[in-house]
Amino acid sequence: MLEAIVAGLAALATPQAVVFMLVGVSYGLVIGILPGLGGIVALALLLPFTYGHELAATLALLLGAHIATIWGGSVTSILFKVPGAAKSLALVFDGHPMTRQGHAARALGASATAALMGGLMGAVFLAFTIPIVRPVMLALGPSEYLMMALWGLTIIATFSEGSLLKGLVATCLGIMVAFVGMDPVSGTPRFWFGNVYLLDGISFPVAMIGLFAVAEMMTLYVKGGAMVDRVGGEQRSTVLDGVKDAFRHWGLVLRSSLLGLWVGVLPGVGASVGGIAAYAQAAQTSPTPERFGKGAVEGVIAPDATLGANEGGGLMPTLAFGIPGGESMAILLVAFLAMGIVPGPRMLTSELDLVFSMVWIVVIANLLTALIGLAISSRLARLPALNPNVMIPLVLSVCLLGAFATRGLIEDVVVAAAFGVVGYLMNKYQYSRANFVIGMVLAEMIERNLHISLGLYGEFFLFTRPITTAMLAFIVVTTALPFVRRYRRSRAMAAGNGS
Amino acid sequence: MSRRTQENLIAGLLVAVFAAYLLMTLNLGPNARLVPVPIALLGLGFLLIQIVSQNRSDGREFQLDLFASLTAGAASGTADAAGEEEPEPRETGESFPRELQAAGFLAAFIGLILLLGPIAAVFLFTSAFFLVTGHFAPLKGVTVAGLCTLALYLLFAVGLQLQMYHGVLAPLFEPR
Amino acid sequence: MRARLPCLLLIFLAIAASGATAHAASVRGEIVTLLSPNSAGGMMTRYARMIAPYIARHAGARDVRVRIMTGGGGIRGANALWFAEPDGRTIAFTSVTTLILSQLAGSEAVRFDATRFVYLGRAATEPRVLTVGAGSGITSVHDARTLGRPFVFPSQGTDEDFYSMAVLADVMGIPLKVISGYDGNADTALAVIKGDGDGHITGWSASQAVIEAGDEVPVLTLGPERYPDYPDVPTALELVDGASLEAVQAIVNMLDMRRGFFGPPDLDPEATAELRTAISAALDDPQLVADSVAQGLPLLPSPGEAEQIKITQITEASQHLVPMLRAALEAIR
Repeated sequence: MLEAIVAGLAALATPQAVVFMLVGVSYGLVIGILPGLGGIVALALLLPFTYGHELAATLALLLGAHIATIWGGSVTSILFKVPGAAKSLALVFDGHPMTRQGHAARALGASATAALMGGLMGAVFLAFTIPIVRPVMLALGPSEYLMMALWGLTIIATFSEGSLLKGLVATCLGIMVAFVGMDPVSGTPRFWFGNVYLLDGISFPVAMIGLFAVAEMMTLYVKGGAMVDRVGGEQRSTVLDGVKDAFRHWGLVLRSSLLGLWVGVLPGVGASVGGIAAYAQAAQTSPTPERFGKGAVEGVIAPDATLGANEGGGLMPTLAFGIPGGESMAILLVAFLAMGIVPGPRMLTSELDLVFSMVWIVVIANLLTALIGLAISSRLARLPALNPNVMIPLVLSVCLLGAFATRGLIEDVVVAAAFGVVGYLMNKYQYSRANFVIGMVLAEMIERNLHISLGLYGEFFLFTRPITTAMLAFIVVTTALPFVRRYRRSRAMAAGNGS
Repeated sequence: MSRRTQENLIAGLLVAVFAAYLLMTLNLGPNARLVPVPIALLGLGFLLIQIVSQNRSDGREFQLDLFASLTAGAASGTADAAGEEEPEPRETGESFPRELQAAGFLAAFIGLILLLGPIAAVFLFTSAFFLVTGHFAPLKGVTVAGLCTLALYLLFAVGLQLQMYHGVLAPLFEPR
Repeated sequence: MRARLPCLLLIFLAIAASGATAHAASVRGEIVTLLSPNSAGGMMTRYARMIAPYIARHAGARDVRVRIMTGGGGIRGANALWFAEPDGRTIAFTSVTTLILSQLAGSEAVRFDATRFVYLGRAATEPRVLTVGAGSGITSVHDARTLGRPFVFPSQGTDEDFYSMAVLADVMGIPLKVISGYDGNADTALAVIKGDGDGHITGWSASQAVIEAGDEVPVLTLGPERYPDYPDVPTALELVDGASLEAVQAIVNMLDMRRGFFGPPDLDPEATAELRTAISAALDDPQLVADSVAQGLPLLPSPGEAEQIKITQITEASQHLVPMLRAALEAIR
């Protein structure tokens, strides 16, 4: 094994591999920062260039770009409340409040470090969990995925902006919007008004660009003044503070990375769900959950660590079984086959050095991304302090072009603008936008897995599948806990006042 | 218009949305409506409680929490557990004209994109915005807008090989 | 705003059309738009982009421009082609299988009649295969028929594999239970490996890894002949006869028409001939063949005329299929 580890690294020590890695990472960062575009677009655009080069170099290009897109997406979530891709959504919840409070540099530092730590853990686990991946993959099924989605849903209590009722209404609305288009289960067109554009559903990144980015620009215009509360965008903390934050919360990073790893391994669970689940986990295990949603650095660390680890997890089944863990892994699989890499159990025996090359690529790409990220973070952190008269047209232009770029459909631009107005109104009347998008992300997963579970295991699957039952109990307990705690605290306070 | 009237207006609108949604599910098969129907019913239920509570209590008390209502106000802490955005209740009378302007800008931008395609629209919108707000001197504004447009063009059309939408008016300019 | 969009598009189309009719129907020196109704990063679009410049060269066209028109599982792009001018300047490249099946099953979004598209040539195809889980105890179609319970088929909604399986089960007498809602091929594969499902249908190359690993066993090929790498796996055509054979033949024909070029109905004969020749020549171009090897996009060309005959066969057999397809769809709705 040691031999393979060294051989894997040695394969990357060619000039071509180094250059490809640098190009891939820089390119991935740019793509990731553009709203609406993510790893899938980055990979798809790189595919034509994947033949005729060294194998390790090509892998460095593809994997490097893919890994860099993830942090790129976090950047815009934190700075402008514009999630670069669906999976960076959770970074909006606490990252952006940090920016508004003048802690942008710290948030970016924490985010880059957490992604790096997550990525490293993902890589290490990719190397060492090989024997247990298969049994776990086989043990978890649709009913467990359903529980995972429900768990993500419990986080809505955190974002109810003063009214849980309105928060719940917003969640229902988000789920309902997600059901527009062809039903993934029965193929029935739903809520499409006979419009072929709507048949494909409302694109999630497009809705998100509207709800957050466009709405934010409208708010900025209506309110006047800069996006950040501090005059001149003065920073109240540094990138280094963020790095320290990530190390201080190492337990959280570890938990989140493990979560990310499994989200990556399971083909039925997407990274966007992983980010939200990580956030939910961070908020529910925190001794002070009430700080979440208002600029808690843990709310940045957890999702980024999960997303970082996700890639290592996703590579695992792709290589070992030829079963891609997600959409971007499916594209990678195509590239693998084109390069003559046939995934299968053989990868873990005779082709082990290739696997370790990939582990190293994951490690190095994460390091590079974090280094570049930390270097540019303090500069990036000044951007939100731009004069709104400059920022509004520029951000609107980038976002609407981004909305167009997601699928190349001009209707998406109109939809993004419409969601901008909706988002503005929701913000004004305190119907939580965060809850809306969480509902939208989780809706499909809930619907799919509910149907599959009912079909496979019958109506009482909640109680006939032990793991599912345990997860359900866990969800009920973790959801009730903050309420019970708060209730007790207020009772204690009332008793204290009384005496 | 008072804040409460506005709240009721929004809530009323949402009731209509939920009701229309439920009506549409009537045409769907049992599997296709298995999830949408309960979700819409739940949403409608929450909304109705919200409407009742926002009209029953007086003054600014309509940020009522479900938990608070269940435990008869025992958990007063939840009410200020505000989410991602600190709610800033401001006099809407002042902001309404700006809101209309903001929506107008947005609509104009979208209109330009549909007519001329994204790249030309970005240039026109950015220049116009700079000119109207008077942030830059006119010449500088147009230059900055031009540079930004060029950057976006290079990024999206050249770098990402995105096929730009040509706009409805494009055929008029095409040499035949 | 949204309601206005279709009107604007109509105006656009009207303007474009009025200019178009003035031309003679030859693509020489013209710009040909190649609609790709699939996703920008998908296999279909990669094929389209790879082949387009060669068609331009062999047809003497000024350019063949790939235009991505994703939507409704290919229906959006196909609708657009249906309404395009039949002058050869708008053609499409996609899996006609999905289009025919969604039409036969009565999808509400379909505005076209897939059997009336003019076929210009096939670029590639790959037979599909029914694989079962290694732990399912099933080794042949006969086993699937005599399970004593329904054959559980995990499916990702209503794709061509869903419809193919519905027809197979119907004609072969396999009691079928479709579990729909899976998220892609990886998800159904995992369900089969786990034993949640008995078997699923995929492409041969996609299932290569899991078959080699011993997790899945191929039991049936959905192609005109046996797959060279697995000569012991029978084709579906070998196992049926009579009216059933006709239905299976129609499905096999449909599946065999994946990754093809086609034009709007009543395509001008001159343009048709020109494009068919150009596409055939392009697909034989040694440089393209080298490209396809390098990019891992294998070619298996078939001339447009031959494909057109299959369309006719499918049309004739489709009346048989309709009740089966509709029943399958009804069962999961």
